[in-house]
Amino acid sequence: MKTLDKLQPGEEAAITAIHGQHTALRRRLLDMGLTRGTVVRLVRTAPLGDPIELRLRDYALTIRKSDAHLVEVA
Amino acid sequence: MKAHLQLALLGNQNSGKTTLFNALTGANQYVGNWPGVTLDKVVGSIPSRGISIVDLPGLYSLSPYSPEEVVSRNYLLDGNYDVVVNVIDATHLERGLALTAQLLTLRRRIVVALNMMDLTAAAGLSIDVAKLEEALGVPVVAISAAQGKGLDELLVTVENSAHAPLPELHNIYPVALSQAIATIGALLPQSTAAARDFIAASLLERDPIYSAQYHDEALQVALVRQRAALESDLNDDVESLLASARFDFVQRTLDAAVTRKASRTAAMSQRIDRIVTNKYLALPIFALIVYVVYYLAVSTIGTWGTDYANDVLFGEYAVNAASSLLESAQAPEWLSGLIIDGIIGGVGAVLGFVPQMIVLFLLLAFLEQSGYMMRVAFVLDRIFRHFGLSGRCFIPMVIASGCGVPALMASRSIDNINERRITLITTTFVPCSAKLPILAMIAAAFFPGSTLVAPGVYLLAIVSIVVTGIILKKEQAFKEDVSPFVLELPDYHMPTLRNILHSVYMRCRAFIIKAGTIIFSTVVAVWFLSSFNFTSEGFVMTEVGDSMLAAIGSAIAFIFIPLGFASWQCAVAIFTGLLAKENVVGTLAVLLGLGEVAEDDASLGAALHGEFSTTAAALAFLTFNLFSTPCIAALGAMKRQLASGRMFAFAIVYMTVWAYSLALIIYHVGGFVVGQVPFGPGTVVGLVLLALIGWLLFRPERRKVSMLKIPSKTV
Repeated sequence: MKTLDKLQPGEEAAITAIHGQHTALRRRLLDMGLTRGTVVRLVRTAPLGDPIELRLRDYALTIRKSDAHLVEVA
Repeated sequence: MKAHLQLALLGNQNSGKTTLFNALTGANQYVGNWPGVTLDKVVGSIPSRGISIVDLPGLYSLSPYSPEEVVSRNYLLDGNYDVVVNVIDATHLERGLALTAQLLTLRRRIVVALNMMDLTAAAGLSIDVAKLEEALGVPVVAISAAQGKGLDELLVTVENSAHAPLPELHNIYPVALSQAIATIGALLPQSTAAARDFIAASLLERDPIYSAQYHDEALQVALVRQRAALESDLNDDVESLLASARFDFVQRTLDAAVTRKASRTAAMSQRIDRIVTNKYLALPIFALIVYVVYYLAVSTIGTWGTDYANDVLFGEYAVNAASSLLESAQAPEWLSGLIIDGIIGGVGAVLGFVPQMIVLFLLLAFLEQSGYMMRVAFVLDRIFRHFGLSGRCFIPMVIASGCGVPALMASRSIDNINERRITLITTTFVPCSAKLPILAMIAAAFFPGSTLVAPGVYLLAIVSIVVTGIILKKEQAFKEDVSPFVLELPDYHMPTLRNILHSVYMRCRAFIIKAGTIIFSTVVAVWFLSSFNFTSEGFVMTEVGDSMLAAIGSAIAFIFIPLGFASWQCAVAIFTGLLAKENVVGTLAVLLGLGEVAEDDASLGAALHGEFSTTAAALAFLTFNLFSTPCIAALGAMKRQLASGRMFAFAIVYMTVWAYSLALIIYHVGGFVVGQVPFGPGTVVGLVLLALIGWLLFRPERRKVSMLKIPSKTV
């Protein structure tokens, strides 16, 4: 199972599932457009290794790796 | 004049909503508070058209998980307004329309303001406004708030829309979901009419607030049934289904109305980010920017302005003018004292900070509005999250080494309330420039030639901040529900001068009005206490050594016995330090019978050796002065920014207890270790305090900070 935090900089993947059912974090991720099927690119990792910058739906988003771990991609 | 049209302004954080609000209302703004939460409620008006506007907090959705969302949602559902103006950044339509999709499920009058239309060409977008209008089913007006274009048209559209009949509800969800929503909606009470679809959809999404509010049995059964049916038919959970459906609606809308080519603005932002958030360059660039801000606000322009205001404007012109006026009127001594030292001193104490604040706020507004502040959060999150802070807290702390007052006012740029509160409480641990004379005085008298005292003090300041951050982060009170760290990194853009000046003006005004009153009244009160006393000749003016303040100092001096210094002179010096920390050295010199001397004067050093029997006691005095509550101006700013009486009281108590504990540990434990203070009960207390701090640091959290738990608190 591959998760969002495991992507290499520049790599793209489509979201297959978001775990952590019924949580504020999951809802926030859904609200920001990380829905099933959305293609996400990992732009870069912050200089200190965490958080990460993503590109999706034509905008840039930053989330922590521990949170990105909840997002399954393929 | 009573407004005949009430608008609500809604939009994403980076949609230019505030720019539009400022462009429409100018200076006709009033900042209040939303009930029950520490969120600014900004209301403005356009008197010429009789329009009043509520600026709702910037947000991305109407979920129930942050105060911004709940406040906006409640207002949208129940507020007394005529039209919602939904501001969307035309260059980021996809993200903006997701909120619109939720808004469309409310049966309200909606007008979409398509902002930043001047930037769409550079972003490679061509937007067909008529088609967008058709797809959304509500009026859409193309505007550019920054350039002031399309505003009249927007207002006319809003006015027309307010008088038109309420539009039919636009169905954004696919059949299966709409049917489920209709089934649930039918079970809701009549009173929910206009918001029935929104509440029904939220209930299906297991919305904690509405679930607590609407819980009759038939509804619960229906919800479970509908969810189960949807989830098994469509093979996903309802929250995900509804969110996907909204983004599908957005996608259909975009397909109908937008054609796109390669974007130059996004490419530009990405190029800047390649340097600014680069693995090796990010931290040096941040350090450089902090240095520039510090240099301009603290080392040069800002401080020149503030020194000029304090020394010349209020120190010379105002005082000279007042004293010649008072002399010619042959005013009694107490009256000239009141006017010159009390009132002019009090007003000066407030207004003297303003020049420095203007410089600082100009720079901060530029950093915020250009989009750089979000990059700071991105770059430094890794370090600061451990102390319950974020990278954005770093700038106020650096500024605090110059002056705590603008630093505290600068904390506005931190939008996470927990981080902001911890920042406010810890910022003034950084020794400001006014505390340096105390440091110089003690260092010159007790550690001549040593270069370790100053670095030691700054180290102790960092320890205080880190330890306090870790301790408070675990407390319930600093765990208000906030949006998780899922942040948009907006495209860089050049802020408009108008917006920057507006931000500077609003912040300075907030300082002068809200913080100014408390500062002014305390300055007058302490002046009064330090200048008068009851004597054999009645109630008369006295020197500070014979004043009521000296009496108070003698009465409370015993408090400082455990810290190794118990003279009334020290107690009074600490009190006058409340007015301004610069006063500590001066007061001490006067009370020790030396008059005006420099802080490193040899006679003062000799007198201090009489005052403090050991270097441990002198260090304890220094520590208490540095880390206890800051001066009254900073307290006023802190009170304004914490916006909560209880939090403010806690902050004062915490800082005092922290400074007292540190001083006691230094005197008793430190003094014992170097053989200056004998072992005694104080040593035991000191060790216990050390152990207590250790326990507070390493104790388990009260509640896991995990975002996996749904907060059930309603706002």
